Amino acid sequence: MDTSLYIDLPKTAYAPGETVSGTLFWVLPEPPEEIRLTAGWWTEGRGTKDAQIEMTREWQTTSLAGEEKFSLTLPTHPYSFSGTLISLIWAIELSTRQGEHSVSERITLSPLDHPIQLAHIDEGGNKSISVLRRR
Amino acid sequence: MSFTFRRPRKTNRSHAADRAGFNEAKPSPKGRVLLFLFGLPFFAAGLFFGWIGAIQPLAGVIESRSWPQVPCRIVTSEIETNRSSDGNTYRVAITFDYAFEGNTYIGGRYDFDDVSSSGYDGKSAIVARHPVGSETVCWVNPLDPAEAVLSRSIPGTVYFIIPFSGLFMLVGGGIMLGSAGLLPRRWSAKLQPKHQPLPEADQREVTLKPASGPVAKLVGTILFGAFWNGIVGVFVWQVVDSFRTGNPEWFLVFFLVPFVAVGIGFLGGVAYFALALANPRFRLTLSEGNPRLGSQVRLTWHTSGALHRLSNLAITLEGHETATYKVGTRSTTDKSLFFREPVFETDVPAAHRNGHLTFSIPPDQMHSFSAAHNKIEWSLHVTGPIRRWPDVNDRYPLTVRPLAPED
Repeated sequence: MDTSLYIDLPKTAYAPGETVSGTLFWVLPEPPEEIRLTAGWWTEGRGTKDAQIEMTREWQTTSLAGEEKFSLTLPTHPYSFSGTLISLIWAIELSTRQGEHSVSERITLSPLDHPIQLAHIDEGGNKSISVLRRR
Repeated sequence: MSFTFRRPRKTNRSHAADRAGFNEAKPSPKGRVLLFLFGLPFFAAGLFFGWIGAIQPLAGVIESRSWPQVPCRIVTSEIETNRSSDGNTYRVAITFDYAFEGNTYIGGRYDFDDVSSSGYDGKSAIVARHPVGSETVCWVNPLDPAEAVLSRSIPGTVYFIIPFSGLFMLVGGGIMLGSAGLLPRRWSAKLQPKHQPLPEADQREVTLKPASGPVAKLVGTILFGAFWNGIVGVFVWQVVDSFRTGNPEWFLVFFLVPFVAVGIGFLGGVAYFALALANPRFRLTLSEGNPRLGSQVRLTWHTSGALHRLSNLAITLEGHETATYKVGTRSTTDKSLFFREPVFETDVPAAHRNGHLTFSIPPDQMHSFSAAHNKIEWSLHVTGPIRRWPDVNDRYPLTVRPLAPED
């Protein structure tokens, strides 16, 4: 049997504190025991990765296939952003108990409908928006 | 059994490798082994010193509680000195004779502490209490009558060695268990610095502190400079000595050139920061300690010192990205300026010794963010060039919160 996990979201850009509502679908070759939905963020770019899981929801189930509606209220920060050295990325992940099956959807948490873009100003005063200086 | 997705926008194949980035990456086997080997000497050292200096003596004290007491006579009584390059250590060296079950023995142990240590006075007092020829009592091991002690007290060094060796074992053991993934998850999480959430509540008026004050800069430079020049100086002296003896070490001369240059730089730095102590000082106060993006903030400043020496004065709101990463074993931090806007500028600083104004925090930037390796930092940057003197160049960090919920 095919293995499929799917997170159905109406949109991927959310305002700080907004509630994310959607539906989870799964088809698995073996009973999962538990389906887990996790929301969190991590950084990418020049610096060593920092990450944090902000919330987790779990459903106990032995069904090989099913669907489950969910809603999560996102925190007010940190915003998704993209800078010269650092980017911060939010995602929602659907996984089984041991994480042997998982799928994730990136979302944006921002007062705008896109990650905050940070410019690069050289200390001499010239400004540019560049993503070329990442490691 | 069959199942059909109601809205199949795309097909999902799930793989363990498609985990979201907030899941912890498993450390490489090589990294785990290196970490384990790093922790091993700490643990081994703690165990060794703990065994020799604490566990063995304590075990002897406990066992000797059942030993019979017999009369004995002091034969020799002195302090044994061990000389080393780190300094002298001492040991009580008392011998005594005693009889047990018809046989005569010579004992050489004062107590269960077989380790030499510093502290001459205490040992001298013990020797003084046991002069040669005096009669006293000792405790004999009935299973091995050749073993006897004059004192069954817990040696004083045990009280020091237990916490000392315990700490080494704790740190080393923690590193070894952590490398093997055997530490409880909650502990691993607590040991790693985490993201600091921002305060939700407004804060009343607050006086900002500079990122590093002039005294701290001077003291830091003196300490680093003393450490650096102290070490380099040893080798410089070696070079000077080699020239004096007519056997110049030319390789060492050329090798030391960059190190001496850095040392001279430190001396220059000390002079620079010492002069900077005489610079004007600024006290900045904000009407809201943690302003939000898009908010207006009232800034009040008070200045002390000779403001007329500055050719101009500027207070600038700045935002920086700060990213820390490892290159080999060295940790490096890069910074990138993403926002800069003057809040106040004047060519006549002396006319603005005290002042206040209202400025705006931009609404479309990133709020303050602090995690272990990556940060978004906001600050008010006060600059003022002074001719032929260290410039005024102070940063006052501030915390910028996200937009107000209604925004």
